[in-house]
Amino acid sequence: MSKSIGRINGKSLRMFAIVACMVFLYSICMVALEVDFFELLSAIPHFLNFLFFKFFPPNIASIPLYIKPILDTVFAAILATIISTILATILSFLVAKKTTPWEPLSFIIRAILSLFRNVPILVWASLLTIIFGIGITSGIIALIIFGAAFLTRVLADAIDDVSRGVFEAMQACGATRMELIKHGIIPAYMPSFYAWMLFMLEVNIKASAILGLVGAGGLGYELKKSMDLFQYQEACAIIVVLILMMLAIEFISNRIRRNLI
Amino acid sequence: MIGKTFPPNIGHRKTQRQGRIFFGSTVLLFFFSLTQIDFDFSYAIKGMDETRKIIGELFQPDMAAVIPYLEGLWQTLAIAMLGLGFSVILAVGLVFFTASNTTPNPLVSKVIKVIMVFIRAIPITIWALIAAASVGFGSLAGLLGLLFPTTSYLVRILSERVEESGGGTIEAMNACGATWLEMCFKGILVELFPQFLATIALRYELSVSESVVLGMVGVAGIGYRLNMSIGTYNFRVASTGIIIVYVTMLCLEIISKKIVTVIKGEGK
Amino acid sequence: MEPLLQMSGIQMVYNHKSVGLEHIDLTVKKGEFIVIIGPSGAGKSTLLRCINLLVLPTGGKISFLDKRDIQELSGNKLRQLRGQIGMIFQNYNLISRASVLENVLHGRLGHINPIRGLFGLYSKEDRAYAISLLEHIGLGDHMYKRADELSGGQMQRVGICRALCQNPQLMLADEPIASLDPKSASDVMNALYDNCHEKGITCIANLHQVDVAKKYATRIIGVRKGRIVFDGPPDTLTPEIISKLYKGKEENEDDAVYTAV
Repeated sequence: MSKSIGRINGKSLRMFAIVACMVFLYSICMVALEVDFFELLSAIPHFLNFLFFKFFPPNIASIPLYIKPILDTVFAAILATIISTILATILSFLVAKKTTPWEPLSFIIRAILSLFRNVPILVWASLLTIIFGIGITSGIIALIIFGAAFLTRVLADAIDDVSRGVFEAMQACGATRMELIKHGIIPAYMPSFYAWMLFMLEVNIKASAILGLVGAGGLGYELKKSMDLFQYQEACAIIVVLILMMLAIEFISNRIRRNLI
Repeated sequence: MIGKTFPPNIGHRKTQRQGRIFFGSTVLLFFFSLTQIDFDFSYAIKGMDETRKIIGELFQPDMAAVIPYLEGLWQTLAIAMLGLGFSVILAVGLVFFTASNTTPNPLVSKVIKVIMVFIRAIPITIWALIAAASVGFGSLAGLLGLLFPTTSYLVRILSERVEESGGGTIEAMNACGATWLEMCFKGILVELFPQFLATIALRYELSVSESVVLGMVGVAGIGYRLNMSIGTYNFRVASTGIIIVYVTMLCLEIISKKIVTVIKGEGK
Repeated sequence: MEPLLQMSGIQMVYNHKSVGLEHIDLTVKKGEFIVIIGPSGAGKSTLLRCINLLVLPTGGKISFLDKRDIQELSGNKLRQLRGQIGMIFQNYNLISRASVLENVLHGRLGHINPIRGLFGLYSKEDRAYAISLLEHIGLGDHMYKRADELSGGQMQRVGICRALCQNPQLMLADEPIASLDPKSASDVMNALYDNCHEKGITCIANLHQVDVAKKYATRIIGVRKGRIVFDGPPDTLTPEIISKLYKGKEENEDDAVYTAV
């Protein structure tokens, strides 16, 4: 029946080739990791079994204990977002091709920030706990570093996205560079700015929650403690609190987004 | 019409108000959060000399550590590839039940979507920890840990694609009298194959990043070795690891960008 | 009488290969209303942008008023020069999220102290002038509206006010009515013509509608392949010349100046 649809044949062949390549790649990986496909399949029911019987039900009684860590997590994220946004705003004007005062400077900053952006944040958090000790301080600094690196990149892109027309009009009026930025670029990119700042807040809250797993404070730290002590019902309680917090944040940020943009 | 305020307002009231509310609340939140967090810089200040030594060591990567790290990298890449691969298989299986225009039962679609939201609300590191608690630390835990969130993400993105672009194919296939399975696999899958492939290829970068992170919480791979070196205060070795991770992620980022340009170039 | 603007030997070569403007000699006297016509890609926009140096010509000299070699200007002197030349664009190039009044006041940025300009602290006189310009052109009721709430014709008239707010000696108009319907187009052309005429502002406009050009211009310039091939009063612009001007690009012909038969 489908043979009558001619072009599918050519595509089918390509599809098959790609799928075959992938199967080949998987086999290599399987061998490398010494993991068998069947081992994996049988692990899934084992895992689900564990999840539903050993993990559930959460220890509801201890949920109030985790209010402080949750607040720590959220406030840390808020603080980190604001500080990294301020840094990123300044840096983004130095990095964006259309507003950079000096090309090589843009390149240098981008290279340094690329290091902070591409290496997973948990690595930086782990290092920072050595320098700043266990606790939320390390987490906040890690979030600021990663956040500034990420935001600078996306804000610089937003600046470069501002249409040439805005630049031409302001220059034709005889505006200085700063005036061009304040009256031309900033109004034009505000929608992107709001969107990215909110996005960063969400990302930071999620990241903040898990940074504790390497000791950088907040909810993650409590989680690590309970897991290490095999107190799975406790851990489950923490995860429940975490999920509720995430859902709340998503809900709130959607409302804000709708009102701003 | 000039107001009596100084300086008189020349702007658009609503937009300005929006801006003022946003920044006002941000400032308030900032100072409030500042009071709620217990900062503790004493550790850093006491250990100033230590810190200087550490930073010095970080700038001197230890070349001898490259080989073991590359082994770890290979493991990490393999975990990411397998994890992604299995997630793809699961996701393809689920996507046609999830997309509202191909699902045989709308209720099933909604239920799956809700479950996916909950799966995604749990950070991947936690999934890995639970997996490790049940099957022990190691590659298997990493795979299991990656499986759930990645599948959930793929199901969401791919079902969105199907909902957006599948309409025409669905009609055509139904008009030919194709069965549901034929419509899904010979019709939509073939039609949207390039888009699916692009999504999956782009996702690999993220999977590798996650795989490194999972390593840091004990799973396996380069993240694990990195965490070990930091934990044993072996910073020269750790520095090597960071550089390797950085170079890897950078390459993946460049490849992903190339893929995006190719996609945009072919257009649809 | 000293000409307002003199361009000699203006050349614009991109990447050592493609030529935008081959050799432009142009003298503009005060009070003229010049319309430049020609096929797209002929170099009309480039020519206009060389005057206020939004585009830097690769060769030739320009003098404006009493300043020689303005193509060498930079920094503050360039700003001051641009302050005396107003420009309106095909896509209006207004700041969408700013109010109409703010947009018009941007015209003052080339004349006021950079610090005041940065904070948008325009003087009472500036504000009164901007408001009077808007009322004169018929947009007094739209002053506090966001620029993107206006129709195309209204936006272009705001653009005209912005340029007029500079108190310019010269007005440049790059395809001002290309995106407009006939009624709005005629509103805009009338506004442009009337305001320039009343205030004694010289105007150079690019148009591809030859009939509109003939209606308003005191002098028409035909540009083809980067050269001026016609320069004269509108009544000497015959249909033969027009068709030669807009002839297809495949045809190879000498680029001698076309004169009326």
